[in-house]
Amino acid sequence: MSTRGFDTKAIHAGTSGFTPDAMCVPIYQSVAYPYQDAQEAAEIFRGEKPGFTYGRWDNPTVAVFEKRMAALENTEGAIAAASGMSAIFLLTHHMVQPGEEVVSSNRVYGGTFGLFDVGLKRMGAKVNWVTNPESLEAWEKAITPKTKFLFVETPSNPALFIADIPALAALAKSKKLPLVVDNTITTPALQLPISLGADIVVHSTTKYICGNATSLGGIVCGPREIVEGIRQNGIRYLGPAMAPFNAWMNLIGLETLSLRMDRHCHNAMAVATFLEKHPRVKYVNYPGLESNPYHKLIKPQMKGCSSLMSFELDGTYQDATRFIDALQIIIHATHLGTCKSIVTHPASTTHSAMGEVEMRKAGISPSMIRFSIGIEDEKDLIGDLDQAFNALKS
Amino acid sequence: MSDIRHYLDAAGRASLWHKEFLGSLKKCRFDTLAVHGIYSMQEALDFNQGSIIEPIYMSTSQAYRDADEMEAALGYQIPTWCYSRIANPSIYYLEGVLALLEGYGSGLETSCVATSSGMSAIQSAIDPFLVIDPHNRSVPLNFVATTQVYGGTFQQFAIRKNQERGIEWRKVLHSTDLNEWESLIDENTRFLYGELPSNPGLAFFDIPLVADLAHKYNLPLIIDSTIATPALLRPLSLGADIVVQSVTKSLCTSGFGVCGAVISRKDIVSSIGIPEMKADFATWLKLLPNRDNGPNLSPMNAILALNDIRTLRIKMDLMSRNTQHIAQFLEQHKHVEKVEYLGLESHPLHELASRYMFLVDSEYDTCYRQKVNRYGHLMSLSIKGTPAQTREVFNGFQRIWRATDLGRIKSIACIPAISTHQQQGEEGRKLAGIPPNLIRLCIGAEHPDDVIRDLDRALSVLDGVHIPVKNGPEFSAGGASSAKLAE
Repeated sequence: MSTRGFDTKAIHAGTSGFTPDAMCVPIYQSVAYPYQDAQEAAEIFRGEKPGFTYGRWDNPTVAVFEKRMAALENTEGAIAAASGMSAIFLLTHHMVQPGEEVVSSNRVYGGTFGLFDVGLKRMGAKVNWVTNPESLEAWEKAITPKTKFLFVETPSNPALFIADIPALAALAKSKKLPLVVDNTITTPALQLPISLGADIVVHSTTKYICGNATSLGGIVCGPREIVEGIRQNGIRYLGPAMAPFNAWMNLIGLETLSLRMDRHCHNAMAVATFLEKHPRVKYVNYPGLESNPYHKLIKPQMKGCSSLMSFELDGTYQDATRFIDALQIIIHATHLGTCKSIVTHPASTTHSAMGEVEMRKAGISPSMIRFSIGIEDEKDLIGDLDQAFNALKS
Repeated sequence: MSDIRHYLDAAGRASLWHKEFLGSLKKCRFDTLAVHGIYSMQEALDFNQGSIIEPIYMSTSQAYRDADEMEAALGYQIPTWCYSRIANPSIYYLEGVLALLEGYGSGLETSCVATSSGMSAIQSAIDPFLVIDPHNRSVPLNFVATTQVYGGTFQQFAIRKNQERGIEWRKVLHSTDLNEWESLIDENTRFLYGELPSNPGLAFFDIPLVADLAHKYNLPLIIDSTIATPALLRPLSLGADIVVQSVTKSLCTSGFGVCGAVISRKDIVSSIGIPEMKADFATWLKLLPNRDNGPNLSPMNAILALNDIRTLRIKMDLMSRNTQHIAQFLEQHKHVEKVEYLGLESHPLHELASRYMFLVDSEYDTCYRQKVNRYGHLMSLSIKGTPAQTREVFNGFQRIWRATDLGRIKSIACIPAISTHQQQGEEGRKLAGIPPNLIRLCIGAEHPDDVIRDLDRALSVLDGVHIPVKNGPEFSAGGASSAKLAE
């Protein structure tokens, strides 16, 4: 299967050796699996024989999803988790002991920021933030003998920082450290961190992989030793298992992943181009635009820029909220990476607690608006934006 | 060169294995069959990744090893599930357990076909008997069926069959009157049909007598046994040929979705039809007519139903006891004109129902150690009041849910005249005995004290008490925001 093309793997990988002859993987909504005999039970528990034991750490439907994700990310294995955050937590918990450190870009999703900032402290460990992640020297400076892995989210949510993965991977390799990439925004359909030199990939599969905002999920794709280590010593005791039904929904999502990502990219580019030309727009942050500072990094490592973007409205906080309220197709919600287009106003929602001064330091202005562009008809999306801009005039 | 012998041989061996396994189930009690059905440990280990719960085969079709296997499978020569309109592993597991439960204690071999709803079960069960005689196309067909049936059944019989197809529904008004049944039968009658206990009228008749009558005229007796479920009544063991179930109801108290089933005994009696149809009606129905007509169940619903059925007996016991308690309370209530429940001695059919409705296996239950009567959880009350006051009482319920539903683990009420039996009109309601002051109650597994409190409070509107309508909150307990704020 590893020699097959991406789309073939997205539809078929992970089912070899699977007994049922069904067109679609059955949903094994079952927590336990009987053994042929006591001998077999002992062998499976010792890990000498493949087999399922208990649904918290293994399940046949979830196993197909894990194998399929490993095939798509070109890793030896994968372990699914209840959410993207639990995937990152399981990985961190497995890799880091008290007194040790993680080096991470500070341009990460807020949940990840909190986990590293607060969670690691509680584990007796700490994070060394790279506050200027464009600079390789900054990364190098943050590394100490206690560092266990480098973590980067690229493109990042919501700032859309893009890391030079091969350069960062070379640095990690020279320090004999694994590089972990959060590939949630691009998905393996657009970016393959392992082939760019990374060692481990994490995902919130809740986003583009599932694709329709129905099911939470996360996954760690990496070397067998790490993945199975998390299975035996992490998820088994910590417990954030993915539900079989969610794994099945994610498998269905994978079948159309590259078709959807293609359309997401196409629509996002159309919207970004429209916004860039609009007189009420100060700037547009979308890596697909030539004006974007990261644009030169795209071609060597990404097939497309996905559909997360932000722009600054030429106006006030109130103008931004009026604009959002005027939108009719684009939904006002705190989510991204789904078929439906979503708008978020960070200043009044996700980042409102920061206050204006802190917000500006983090690069968020009161009139900044974030989009996750969906796969609706391009003309309707632009029409929706156009009428919302017009509503500001009245 | 085609050689399907390899597969036929294997199928023969498999058939012996399954026959022996089914034989071993004959020793099992009802609860054991309800919990395990036909899903054996071997079935799990060899074919289903060892999953202890039957998997949800959410898949349209089966893949085959080669052309030979496909040929043998599509010719129904080997076990197969081929395409989910015809069959599906999850659905087989549901059908297996339903066949075992309906046949329980009878020594009969039974089979089952699951359908997408109770109504499609009825349509599937009766349609094969309503075929035109190719040698005598002008003969008008008829069937004899009780009038006290669920409103949907009434419409299927009255409109879809009688009015649109010219297939006469000969209505039995008093189903306990055997002479009336017999007087309606002629050489063009194709089957006898009865719903019992009926919804909501709780009609009940002597199945063995009506079955004997049907068989005397070489006709099958079809029974809708939805209200009783096999935990309380098993019509096949009493002589009926075919049972239909709206599995949606008490078989699936959780109310997750819609589901139906047709269960038959081997070698049914019928004046028409090919030998294969009569030999194993439900299997024939599954593999041929329903393949072509397509009222298939979703595999997801099949497994959700299976999970509900595992606790059927104890739930029917508890809900029947609760209903008995509540019916006795209502019978004494000053604002209640009449309570209809088969468990009440005042009910004219109480004695007859008591001869047949027992909690299965109660004699082996350490709580009872003897056969105990249980009458299900459907009852009705007629209030001393006008149709408008009936609505007021109904609107006063706070614990009991107002819904067009029954069979739930939650208590539910409806006014049949304005809901389930609205479509059949005033005349049809008179025939079926549905007055406008009748409230149908289906009692759930709540503590009966709480249900009684709710009923008492709602009935107090007849004392002139005004039950204020409280405004709801603006955010839900589940965290959903309300549309109210948007106004």
